[in-house]
Amino acid sequence: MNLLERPDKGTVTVGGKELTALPEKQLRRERQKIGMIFQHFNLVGNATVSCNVAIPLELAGVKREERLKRVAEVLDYVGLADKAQQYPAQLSGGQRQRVAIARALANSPQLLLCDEPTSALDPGTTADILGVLKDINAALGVTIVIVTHELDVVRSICNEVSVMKDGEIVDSFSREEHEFLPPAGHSGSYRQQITGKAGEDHVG
Amino acid sequence: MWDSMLKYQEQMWQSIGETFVMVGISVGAAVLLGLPLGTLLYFCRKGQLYENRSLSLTLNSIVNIIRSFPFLLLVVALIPVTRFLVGTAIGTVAATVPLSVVAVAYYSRLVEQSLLEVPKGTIEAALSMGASKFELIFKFLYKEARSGLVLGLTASTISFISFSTVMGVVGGGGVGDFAIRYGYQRFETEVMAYAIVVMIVLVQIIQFTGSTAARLLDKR
Repeated sequence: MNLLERPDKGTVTVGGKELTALPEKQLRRERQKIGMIFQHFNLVGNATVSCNVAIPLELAGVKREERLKRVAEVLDYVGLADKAQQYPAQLSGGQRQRVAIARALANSPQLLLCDEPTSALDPGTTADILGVLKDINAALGVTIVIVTHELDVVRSICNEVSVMKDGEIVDSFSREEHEFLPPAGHSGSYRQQITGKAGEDHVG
Repeated sequence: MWDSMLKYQEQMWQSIGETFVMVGISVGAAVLLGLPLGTLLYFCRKGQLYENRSLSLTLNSIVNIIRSFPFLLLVVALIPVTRFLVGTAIGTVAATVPLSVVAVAYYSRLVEQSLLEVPKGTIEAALSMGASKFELIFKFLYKEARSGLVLGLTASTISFISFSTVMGVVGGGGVGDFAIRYGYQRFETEVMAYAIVVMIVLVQIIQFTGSTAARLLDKR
């Protein structure tokens, strides 16, 4: 959708702008207004958390002072203000994805693209990240597009669903038309999630 | 050995100076020309961002041809070029020309290899943020590959020292030339050993510095 992959045919329009028709330079400017997060986070390993979050601001030409302020703001929003000076390698998967989210939000995008955002995370962390995404949508009014094969993700936070096969949309429906089944649940112990029954802890 | 060290102290210092000039200039050439060339090699490769078969083939052939020359023959073959650039084909400065040519070819390969180790996802992320070519190269690629680039330059520098030892044939001087002329040709084995020890110390210092820098730069 941000033309990292060019479609073989057809057009891509985001926020009223036909991206497929834009020349390289304008396309880059439009991309700066679209946030994106990835399955493997794709952070810059040799840059601290705050430097990572600052990159999109640098690319957009935001001044240093404003940049620092904005970085602190978004890091605070994802709950990682205390990790600002650490490197991604020192963080857990969930924390890295939060950094990626902060980076994607830095330029205050209207649209956030998520490429399998939770596929590399464990169930508890998945629930955590989905909570953040849900809040971004509700509190900041950012439209979120999620590509996923995890149906629980769809059941817990999506409103509109399109099913794709061989590059074509084969089915579309929304939460309004059909009630979605509740997600299998990411809370509780693994035993509870698997058997549906609460067990007694073996370790005290 | 102490006697010969004292006896040839002056020549030794001069030789070390010549080695530094030759290696220093070729390291400079490696960074200034080899780094961009290696980046170009990387981008033109099949499956990379600016895949370009004909450019890739041309650059690869040139780099391979330079690297397949026995170095001594390259020095001889480049004499006309050296004469054109420096005005003479003899002396320390003239010796830096063939040395720099090899340096650029050699380091560009190592740059290409280091850049290939940067995950594709990093490039994807850079493009998704709207980075331009130069921003992609400087803020993402070089940043992620920096410890590999430093290690590559360290290995290159050590090879250049080794290459520089044969520069005696065009009057380039240097520690290697000193060892051959005074140690080997005048049968002063001690002098040769002395020169070799100097080279060993030099290489150890360079490798230690390079490895340490690379380790400190690597935060991944």
